[in-house]
Amino acid sequence: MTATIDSNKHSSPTLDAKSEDANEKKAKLEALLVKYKISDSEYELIKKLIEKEPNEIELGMFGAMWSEHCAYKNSKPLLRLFPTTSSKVKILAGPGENAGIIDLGDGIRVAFKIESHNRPTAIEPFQGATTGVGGILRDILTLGARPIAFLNSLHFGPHTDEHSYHLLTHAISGIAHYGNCTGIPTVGGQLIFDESYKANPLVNAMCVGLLETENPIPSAATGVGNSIIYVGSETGRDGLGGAAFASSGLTSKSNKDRPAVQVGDPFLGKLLIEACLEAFKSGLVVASQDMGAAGLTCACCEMSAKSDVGVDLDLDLVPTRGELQAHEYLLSESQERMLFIAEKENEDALIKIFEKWNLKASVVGKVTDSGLVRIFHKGQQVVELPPKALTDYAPEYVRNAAPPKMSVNITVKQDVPLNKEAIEKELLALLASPNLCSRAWIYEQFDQQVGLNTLIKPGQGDAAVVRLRYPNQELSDKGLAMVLDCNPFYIKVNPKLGAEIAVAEAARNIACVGAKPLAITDNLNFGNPEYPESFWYLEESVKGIIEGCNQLEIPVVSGNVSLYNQFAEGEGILPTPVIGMIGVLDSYYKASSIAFSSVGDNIWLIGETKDEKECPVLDWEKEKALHQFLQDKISDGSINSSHDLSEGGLLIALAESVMAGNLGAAVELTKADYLRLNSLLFGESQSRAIVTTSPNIQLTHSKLKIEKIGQVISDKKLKVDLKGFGCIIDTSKETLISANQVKL
Amino acid sequence: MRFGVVRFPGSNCERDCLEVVARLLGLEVHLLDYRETTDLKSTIDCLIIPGGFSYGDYLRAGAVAKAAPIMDSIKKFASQDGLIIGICNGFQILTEAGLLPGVLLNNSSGRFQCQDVKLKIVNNDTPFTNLYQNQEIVTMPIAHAMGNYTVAEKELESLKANKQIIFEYTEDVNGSISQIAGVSNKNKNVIGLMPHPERCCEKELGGVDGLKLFQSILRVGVTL
Repeated sequence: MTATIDSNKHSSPTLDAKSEDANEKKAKLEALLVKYKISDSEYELIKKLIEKEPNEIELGMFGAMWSEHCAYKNSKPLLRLFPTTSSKVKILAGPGENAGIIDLGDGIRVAFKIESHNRPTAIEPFQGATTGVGGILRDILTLGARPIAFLNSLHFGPHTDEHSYHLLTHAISGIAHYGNCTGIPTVGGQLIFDESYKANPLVNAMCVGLLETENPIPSAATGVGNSIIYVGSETGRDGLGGAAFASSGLTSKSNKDRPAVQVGDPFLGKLLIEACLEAFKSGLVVASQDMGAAGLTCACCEMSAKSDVGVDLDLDLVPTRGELQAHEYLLSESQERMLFIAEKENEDALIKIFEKWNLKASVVGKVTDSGLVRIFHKGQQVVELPPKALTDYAPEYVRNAAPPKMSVNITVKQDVPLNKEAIEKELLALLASPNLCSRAWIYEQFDQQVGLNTLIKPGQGDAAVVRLRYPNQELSDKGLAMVLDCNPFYIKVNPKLGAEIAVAEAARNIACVGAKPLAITDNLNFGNPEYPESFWYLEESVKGIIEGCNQLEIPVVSGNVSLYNQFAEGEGILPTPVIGMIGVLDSYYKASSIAFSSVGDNIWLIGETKDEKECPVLDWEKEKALHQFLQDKISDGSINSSHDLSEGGLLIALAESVMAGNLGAAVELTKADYLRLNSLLFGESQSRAIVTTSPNIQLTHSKLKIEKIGQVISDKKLKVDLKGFGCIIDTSKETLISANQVKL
Repeated sequence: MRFGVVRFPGSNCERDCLEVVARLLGLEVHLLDYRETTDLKSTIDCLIIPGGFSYGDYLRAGAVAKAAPIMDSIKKFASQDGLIIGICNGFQILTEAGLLPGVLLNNSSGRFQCQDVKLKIVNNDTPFTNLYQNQEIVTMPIAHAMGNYTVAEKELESLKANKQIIFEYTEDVNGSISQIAGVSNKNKNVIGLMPHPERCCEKELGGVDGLKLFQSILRVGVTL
């Protein structure tokens, strides 16, 4: 009996082992799928695509490449709807490339793109923001362009919240750290505070560059037998799984993901700029790709998928910090790394260029005709995948969209009482309010002038303006205007109209400095797309951007999507489609600032003021007429200063134009009977601007309402009279500034 | 008058300095590599050490650059009465190398500061300031995190006695002792300043008060 039992016992372990083995395997696979955020159906799709069971390393690569961050699987169907061409501008590169490139003629080609670094900033704000700036810089650099300007759009929780303030100040230091050290001026941006960004702040960084090479450097690996050269920082364990981390919501446990945050080294970034540009100009580089999200994996797969070649990569040749496992090599997002393709006989010459700049460069593989990405580690092949499976065949999801059930309640503010004391108090309170107060304490931490190009600095104009150079660095007459814009409060109320307004206002800002809009880069920051309401906001916002582009006949040439911006199961952020726009001035020296500049100038209000609801209405015909008018009148020298009316309306715009210069303004306003007093003074009706001209110049327009409202005076103050009532504002520039420069 | 601009790894204002000398002054200018060990006197008359973050400002601003190969040549050049101007990081390097007195600490604000500042010309009897009036107030931009100039009390007295204080801020900008923005060596052939004169040589860029500094050097060239 005992023996039998023993014998049974003896035989059963094999059976148990088998089922245990299978169970264990299943459990292990499930754990891996959770780890790499791959769904069961995605796993089935992977097996079908690669015709085998992926090993653990390969699965990790899919996890990174199929993340929302890399594959845009929840947003691609929407992104395809963007207009990406225009008869008005010559586009050299559009979406899908490292950045968009616009050809302005005479060899001047502008590359630009925006990118988010939201999640990393939420848990490690300094490095999160630093590497956001470094990452977008390399996207521009890899095309053969010298980065010439940064802008950033910041959305944070209230400054009164200690944690939000900590995140904000450290993110700003991080942005300053990278931009200042690399010698690229940070020339513009925006900062918006709202409760919804408390646990999930947004850091969107835009970089603009000028091509210095004859043609954009391709990113497709070509030439079977060509060498793959790895340049820059060693690969370490930092930023492991960053792409997947960036594609999921934050939770109270997100702090444990801190290793997913990369660490930036702007000194190395600066060396990389100079070394890469020298390498590109040497003509020895066949293709280049920076290593950003999903690191080596993404660079290898994208470079080979784009030209249907194969790539053999030997991890043992990759410079590292400490010993790494194969999957760590492949998923590390260590910063300041680039991958180059070069002909074998040019290897040494190219490596010499990098060594001159004290950078490591090593041959790590070659281009093959296998059509496969094959990766070797310690003499063994550890990965064999068709690259398109990772890049082109990621699943796409069309999510359900549903408008929010509850209407958004925003209480309309009562009119300010009609007396001088109350109106002055209201103006000063608005100037000091978190979303309108001076950002000088932020942009003064950024080097805004290095490069000798910055014509309109932050605080001086509606858009930043830099002068443009030919590839040989000589100055051209052209100037480039740049701006970032989004009012998420409008988007929350009416996402389509709000997004149209974001595009319209960006273009208005560009027009106010005298430039013509050229193209858009957009950063779509939204909540969990699997929530129908959240997806509806995304879909409607995209519709709004498309409408704006069509109206202005400008394309979207690059962009970024950041979804799952929410904390645990809680409510997401305000829907925040940030619009980055560039525009061109034919004569850079004509760029117009907001500052009142000449005593005796007439001050004109262009556009119609109405009573608005939570989100103002937009009349595109009037909007476009305003842009054209501003461009024409700045170009012919009639206009001496211009400022668009946006958040805070007329009085805020007047106050800002006084504060930016060394003069004052005396204004008389007339209130129409039908109009609320608040609408006249602080209303946010669209398609409006204030401009100044010499006294001898008359401004008229058949479609636009234009009224002379006052004069520029030598007395440094803002004085406003209301017709039929008397003085409603008489405030010195000093008082305005001390209210506006409130310490947050 | 022949100029040289030295580039260390991490310098980022060398192109701006080259441009001011070549395009705005129309003069001969050479970009010098930090590994250069040649005799500078034979090729240039004035050396500009530009701003930036040499060696990433790791350890301390200028602390690594002072050990770069070119520094021996620069010291020799200084001893031969060669004119040297260090701007921002260049100033930090010159103090670290002992060619200028004092040290530059973190700004009292604890932050990087980029803003226009008002400067008083304290001594116009130098090769770099002879076109300014004494006590003249000019505007130049600053862009630094470590511009808080400090010297020991005794040394400050000797700086004053030797008229080595060349530029002062008109108000407390970064915590600098006596609001010092720029100093020279005893011999007045080496100066350093935190503000960026090369950034204010064209009215489109916001001002031209820096141009006179470079033109002053030219006047020395004429009399040489």
